[in-house]
Amino acid sequence: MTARLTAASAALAALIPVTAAQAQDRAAVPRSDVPPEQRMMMHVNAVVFDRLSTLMEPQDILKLVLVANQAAVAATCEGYEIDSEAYSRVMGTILAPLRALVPEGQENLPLDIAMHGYAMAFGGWMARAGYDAASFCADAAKMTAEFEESDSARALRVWARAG
Amino acid sequence: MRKTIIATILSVATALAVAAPTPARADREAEKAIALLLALGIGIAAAKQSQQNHHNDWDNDLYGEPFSPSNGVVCLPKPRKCYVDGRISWQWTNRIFG
Repeated sequence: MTARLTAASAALAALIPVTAAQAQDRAAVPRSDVPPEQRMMMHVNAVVFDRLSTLMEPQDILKLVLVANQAAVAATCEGYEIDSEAYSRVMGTILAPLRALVPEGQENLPLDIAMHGYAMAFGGWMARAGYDAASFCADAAKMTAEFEESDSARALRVWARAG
Repeated sequence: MRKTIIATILSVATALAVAAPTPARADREAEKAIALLLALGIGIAAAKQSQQNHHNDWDNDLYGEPFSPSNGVVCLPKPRKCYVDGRISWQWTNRIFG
């Protein structure tokens, strides 16, 4: 119940613009305050962001990691499936700048490196699922709720809708 | 910097294509895999653990100095990403880092 309230208040707060005073009031987070399974995920993702940051825009890397997250959920959790049409559309948009670098039919190493990053992120999410599938799948429900909070978030959803 | 890296990677791919215009498929695939691994190696040094730049026990080269703008939210300045209860958040990331 407490965790649900915390998540709900965090989601509501995300909709409110940050004021200057709030921006200054950012408490430092000691590493030991973050649970190990969360630190592991953060680390895999931080390495992915670090590796791809020279090739892709930060927003596109985040989208890639969020799609990898959804793919891992679909591979793990009951009630979640990939919508292949949505998946192709979202991935196509993310990768379009890299596709444009090389003429059609030629080797595209930047694209291959991006997909390597995607595979790394997917592996990280699967490890997280292996550690505690119940909590991983509970997070998927929160992710679904966040997708409904804005058009830009909704556009990243690659799961088929239930029913 | 990004353009330089992309140019380097593309030049590796072009060099491969020129050096082996009609290789057997298996050779071509092996060359591609090696080139990919070499290109990925560009970022390895940056991702290595630096024991000299730690604060609050985080690797600041990789994370910066993580902070919490709200209960349950942790933001990582270097990757410019935010997590809510360990779940990466599109909304919070955009709110804090734009």
